[in-house]
Amino acid sequence: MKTSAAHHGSLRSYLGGFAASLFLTLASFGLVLYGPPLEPSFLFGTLALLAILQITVQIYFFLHVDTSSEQLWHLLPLLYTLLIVILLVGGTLWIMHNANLHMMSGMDP
Amino acid sequence: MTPAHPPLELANTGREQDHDSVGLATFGFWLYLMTDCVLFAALFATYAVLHQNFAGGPTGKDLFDIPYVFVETLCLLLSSTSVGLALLAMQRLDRTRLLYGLGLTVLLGVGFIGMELHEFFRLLSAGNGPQRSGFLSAFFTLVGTHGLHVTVGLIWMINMILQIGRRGITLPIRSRLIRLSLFWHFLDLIWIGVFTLVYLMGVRS
Repeated sequence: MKTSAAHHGSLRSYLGGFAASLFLTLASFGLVLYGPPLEPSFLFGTLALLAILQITVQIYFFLHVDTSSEQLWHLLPLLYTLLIVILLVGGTLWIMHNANLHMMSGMDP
Repeated sequence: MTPAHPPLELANTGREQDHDSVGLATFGFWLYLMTDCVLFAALFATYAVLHQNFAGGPTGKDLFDIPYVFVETLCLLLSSTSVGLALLAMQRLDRTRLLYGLGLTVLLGVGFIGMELHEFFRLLSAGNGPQRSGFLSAFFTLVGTHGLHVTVGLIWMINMILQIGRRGITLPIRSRLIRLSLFWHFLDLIWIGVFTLVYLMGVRS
């Protein structure tokens, strides 16, 4: 059953994934609740980085997707989906930002 | 690359075929999860576009309770771990631990959904429903769609507990549990995006 992602799990991988995720979650919430008053762009960049890290950790430890040849058929659709997600979210924000700018320019004196 | 990869080959026979069908079903379910990812990407993009459209109504800073969301997050993370441990018990054919693991996951999932519904009712009863502003429409759509997925996962999991009770840990049941665990882990992945973008960034923007 080389294709079933869930079959590479071990107690170590689940506990390791849990510990790493817990640490990253605490870091994100701690930064917002108790962190110093940071520049918003710096704070948002750090939060986004922590989220991406945690997603990567869980894909590796919980979903057991890695770069091995057994996992190729899970990895390739994942990477393709990542491309679509980046195009979808990035493209939407880009277009709506532009539309906003052009609408505003007529209204603001 | 080893030539190991059979999800697209169906021509095998005998026991081999049983195992391949599990792999094939897992692969098909994986592709469904990827399309679900695209669905959530569209909702995240919608939220990102509308998150400042308050229409004179309350902002994230006024509405969101971060320690409360932290407990929700902890419930979901613990449940993602416990479903993994349940799957390990399934591989050892340890029925008692498998049922304990799934039962614990259901309890944590119900805790999460209960907290989310409580938050929704609190917002609705204060007049801050999805009709209040673009921000709240996008909020309810994104968070509600995730909650709906968790609810479906819970119904699926309770159904699996009943099936294990009736039939034991058979191959079809193992195959279903593998897909259920992927679904449940996937929902925790989406939640990481939700608590970061909606709640944590929402109280600071």
